[in-house]
Amino acid sequence: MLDPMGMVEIFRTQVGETSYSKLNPLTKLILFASFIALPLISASLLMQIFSLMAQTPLIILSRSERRVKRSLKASLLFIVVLVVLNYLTTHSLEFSLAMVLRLVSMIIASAIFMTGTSPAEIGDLLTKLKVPLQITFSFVIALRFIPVLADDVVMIITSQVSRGYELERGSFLEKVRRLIPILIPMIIIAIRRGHQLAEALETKAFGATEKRSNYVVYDYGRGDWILLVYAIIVITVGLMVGTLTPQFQLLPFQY
Amino acid sequence: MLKIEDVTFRYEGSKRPALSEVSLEIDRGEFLLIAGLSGSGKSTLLRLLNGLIPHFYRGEMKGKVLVDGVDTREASVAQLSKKVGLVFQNPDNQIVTLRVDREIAFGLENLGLPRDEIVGRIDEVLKKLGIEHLRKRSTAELSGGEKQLVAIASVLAMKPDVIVLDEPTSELDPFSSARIAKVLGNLNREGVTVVVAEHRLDLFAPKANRMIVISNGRIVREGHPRELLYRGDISLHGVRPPSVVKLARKYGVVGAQPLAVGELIVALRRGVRIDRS
Ligand SMILES: Nc1ncnc2c1ncn2[C@@H]1O[C@H](COP(=O)(O)OP(=O)(O)O)[C@@H](O)[C@H]1O
Ligand SMILES: [Mg+2]
Repeated sequence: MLDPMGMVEIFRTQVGETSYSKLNPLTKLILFASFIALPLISASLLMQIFSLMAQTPLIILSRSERRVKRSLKASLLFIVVLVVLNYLTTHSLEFSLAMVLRLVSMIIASAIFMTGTSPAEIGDLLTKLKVPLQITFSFVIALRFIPVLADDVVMIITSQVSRGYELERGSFLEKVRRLIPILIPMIIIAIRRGHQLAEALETKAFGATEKRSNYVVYDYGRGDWILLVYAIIVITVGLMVGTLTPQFQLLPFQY
Repeated sequence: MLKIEDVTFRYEGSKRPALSEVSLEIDRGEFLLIAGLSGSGKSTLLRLLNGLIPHFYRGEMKGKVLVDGVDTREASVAQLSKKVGLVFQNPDNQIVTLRVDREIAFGLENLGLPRDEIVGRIDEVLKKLGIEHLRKRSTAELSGGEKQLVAIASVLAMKPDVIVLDEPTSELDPFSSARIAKVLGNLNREGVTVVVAEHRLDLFAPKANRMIVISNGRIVREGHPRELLYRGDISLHGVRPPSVVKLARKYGVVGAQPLAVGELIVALRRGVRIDRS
């Protein structure tokens, strides 16, 4: 019944390129922001249904139909529980449904953006939005070193365990204390890596000129323009839907 | 082209100098092999060549280093990077981006080169090293040997006059190590000056035209690899001659001074003395 892997299936990395992943990262960011904003325009059930529906083209372009379906199926029980709990506190079925749909809608929007945009693109995007190079670079370098440091952790654990070290033993506090022989070598290795990385960056003239050039450039294709217009239309319609009065009484503390 | 004049360097915080009264001249087109035990000062010597010492490492430096006539103290590491490229031991710690072509572009972007130029140089180095198929690959998925080739490519793309490598094969399997040695041999034949610190003398000695042995921060031997490996007793300084040399001694074909297995076989077949030095 419970299928936790199925629930997060929607966030699983998309293999290969899709029409969506090939879009300009700025377009993807704008679409993402639009679909996060859309369900927040108003709390009405109609608004939430509209937000969900409006995402259909993106789901298709990013070839996420199957992932979305599987995740929804796996989360069904969870969704029902959320609706019931919400109903018990608000006594409004419509409001409860609306809130849960809002959540689902935002999760789908995030999943499409995250699985269809590479970390490098996000780095480029930040640079384009005039975020200082030090910050965007730290972001990329952190991602670059996650697998490397993960390997280090595995190596340290394996070598400590092979020397007879028992990680999982004793009370909770004891277990925490037992992490120290893993953490100390980890910190030392990370510092050493950091030092060598700084040396390599220095050698590659990092930060040498103010006028850093860009190898990767993104242009705006037809698809980008079409989807940007789509985003404008959706937000406009959303604002109109938002002016309709909700069919239920809002609780005073809710908004 | 590169000139080290009577340099003594002591790292901040250590009592003994890591290098003492070292003088060395490297000419254009050379393939210089640097041998020596761990801790003998090989890396320190290489750091002098691109200005990491004294710009990045603190310490006390006497003497001077000239790159194309420019004192390294007067130039920044970034300026020197256009003349001397440095490849490090651990490929994982020198790859900074997430995709191979971006990695090669990285140094060029830092220099502010126009995009067309960057694209052209990426094509060129990928082809030169025979790794065109890696162009769009994620750097995290590469094997150790591929990573080191990409690291070499990213340095070569900056078109330095000299490429300097600090134990480039020490983290690699024998097959990849041989590939790196071969790539460096080819580059050298095309006119790139190569300086490499290595333990794998069997792979690199046949490519080198000159070899130095460092011990305790001093250059204790210098000459053609054949000369050093067959005449002097370098094992005194902890450097073990490659097994080809040992076999040649054992079978009495020392006269031919073979360094590579092929040369050894030829020498054994002929069974005569061919003095090539
Ligand atoms: N960053 C450093 N700080 C202090 N001492 C160092 C540093 N790097 C190397 N040394 C010391 O300098 C000497 C030479 O080291 P190194 O040049 O790394 O030798 P090699 O590369 O031949 O192994 C060693 O005694 C080493 O401990
Ligand atoms: Mg070293």
